[in-house]
Amino acid sequence: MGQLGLPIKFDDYAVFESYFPASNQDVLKFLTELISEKYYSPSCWLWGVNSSGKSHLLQSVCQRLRGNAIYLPMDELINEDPSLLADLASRKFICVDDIHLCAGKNHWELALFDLFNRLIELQSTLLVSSLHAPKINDFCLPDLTSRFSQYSVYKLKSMSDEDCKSALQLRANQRGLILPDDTVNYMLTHKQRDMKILYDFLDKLDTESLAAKRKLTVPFLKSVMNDLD
Amino acid sequence: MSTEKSSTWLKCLKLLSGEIPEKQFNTWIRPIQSIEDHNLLRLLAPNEFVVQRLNDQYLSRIIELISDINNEMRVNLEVGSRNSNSTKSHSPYKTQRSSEKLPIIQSRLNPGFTFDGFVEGKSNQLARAAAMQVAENIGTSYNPLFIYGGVGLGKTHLMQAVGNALLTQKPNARISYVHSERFVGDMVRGLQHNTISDFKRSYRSLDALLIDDIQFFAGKERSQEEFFHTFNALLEGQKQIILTCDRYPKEVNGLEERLKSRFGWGLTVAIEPPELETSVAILMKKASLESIDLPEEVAFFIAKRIRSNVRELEGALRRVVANSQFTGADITLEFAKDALKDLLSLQERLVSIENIQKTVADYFKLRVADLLSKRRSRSVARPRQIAMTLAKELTNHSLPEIGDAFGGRDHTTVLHGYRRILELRETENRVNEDYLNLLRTLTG
Repeated sequence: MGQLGLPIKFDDYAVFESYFPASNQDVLKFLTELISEKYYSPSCWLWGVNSSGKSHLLQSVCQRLRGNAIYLPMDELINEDPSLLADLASRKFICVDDIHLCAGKNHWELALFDLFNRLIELQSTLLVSSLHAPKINDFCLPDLTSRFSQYSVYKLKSMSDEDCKSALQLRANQRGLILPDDTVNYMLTHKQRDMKILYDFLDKLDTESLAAKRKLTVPFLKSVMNDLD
Repeated sequence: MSTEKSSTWLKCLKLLSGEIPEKQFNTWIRPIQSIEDHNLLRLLAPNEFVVQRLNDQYLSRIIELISDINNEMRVNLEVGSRNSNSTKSHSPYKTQRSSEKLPIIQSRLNPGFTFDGFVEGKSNQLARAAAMQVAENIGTSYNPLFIYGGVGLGKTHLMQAVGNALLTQKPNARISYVHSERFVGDMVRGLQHNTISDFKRSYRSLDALLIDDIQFFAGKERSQEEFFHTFNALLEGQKQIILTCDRYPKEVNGLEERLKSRFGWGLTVAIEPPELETSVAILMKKASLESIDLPEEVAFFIAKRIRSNVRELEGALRRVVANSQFTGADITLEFAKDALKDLLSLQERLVSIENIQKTVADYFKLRVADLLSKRRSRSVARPRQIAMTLAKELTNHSLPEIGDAFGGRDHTTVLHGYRRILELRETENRVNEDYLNLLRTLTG
């Protein structure tokens, strides 16, 4: 059997408490019910564009369940031997991030298919994320597509500007920062509207503001942005 | 009286096999057992369903051939089976000694897969009848039973329903449901750990072996070899084998010919995608099993939009039910529409008139321009009518809109084409198959 070569590191903020659900309340509710075992589903497929919060949710599940769940980011594992999936079925949750990367790779598709069949016997759950819905994921194995389609499939909707603003303020708040409305509005109009980029920029602001002992005002923001350019 | 196979019948079989297509021969003729008693040839069919089909299609020809072989022979067709005790086994495989301790077997059956939970419709009627027959006469009616069809149509359900029925009748029966990938994995582990003899013993000591998705054996020669011997051992011991596959056995590339031919020894039955009414019945049944109050209009709404397979139907129902449970709201048509918004918008993107035209044109090796042209030759008109029918069935466009999209035709032309295809699907297998293949491509 293959072994997981590297310990997978979680993003510190990838916990349910820091997830801003916006229009994805139904997904959050579903996952909460699932991990508290009030509801059982052999699989759950989350899909949405980049930075829609898929990895955040998968990692949150793993951080909440600790040893009962395992996180498998396919962007790091796709070149490994898929036999590493063989003995994972005993975990309560197996979270495969970016499963679309497995499409067209027969050995990975077969290993996932086999895992899926075992999970049903063991009442475990395969929680996956993808850029696409199962039907347009281009798996070579139609059985794999249809099995995922049989259970829960949720689309993660992108956030509106107002939601992005609230999400950034929530994250700032958790860091002990105050992010005023005019500052966050400036961020949203001058930076790319990609939550990963915005969160990274917030990290940068945090470090810089601590070093400069400055509040997160628009002039301070502009100076940090100028330095970055 | 002879209980051995009748020599007259064997001669007749030989002649019939040259006249009847192989698929039909294996399905309807091969399962018949025979008893010859002086000048009476008793043909024993496994059930009424087969008797009916033989009466309708083949009996007159059988009588002609028998009378050519022996013109004093009378033929009697009935439901029944030869006494299995009197059949002589010439098995080259060792039978299990009764004193030998049998390996422990996990059945891996899902208790939810029963005949009661299986909704019958036109698309799966024959497969269900055959499976029930097998459950009632394990090892002696159709062996192997080979069920094939697209993904998510109920093959695994039927196969396991037989296993569960058998366990109810004989709680100690040794049954194993195994996916072919697992069979391969077990064998590889047996070879690696030098326990291959345990592997062989455990599979060959079964009363019934149910193997799912045997298309995964393709290209795996060692596994096919092992499976071949397991298959022979079980069959010789009159143990039941049930197999499923996503296609007709002859069409599985990378499978040895000797296996393909053995798969055809019993009965091969197909499961097709469910028709609208069956889909609705499936949804209503699933809901009632979970004590969920599902209005019929919601079931129709889901079934009309999701046509490819039962798994997706179930997925849609689960989504509606989960949303209703989490929000505490009743399931209404509006609620279902909202819960399935993402899924349906995706479906609509896949099933547009343009996509239907392109798919149909590719399928019949035509150009989309041909479908939209004024040409009325059958090679173009029939695909056009099929495309218009699919557009009517799968999209929400009105008949005038469909007519417009097909080169500005009148809505009555669309309606005529639709009715024509409905008729032809009943009378011409080829049209029905083309239609179903396209339906699967567009919605699967």
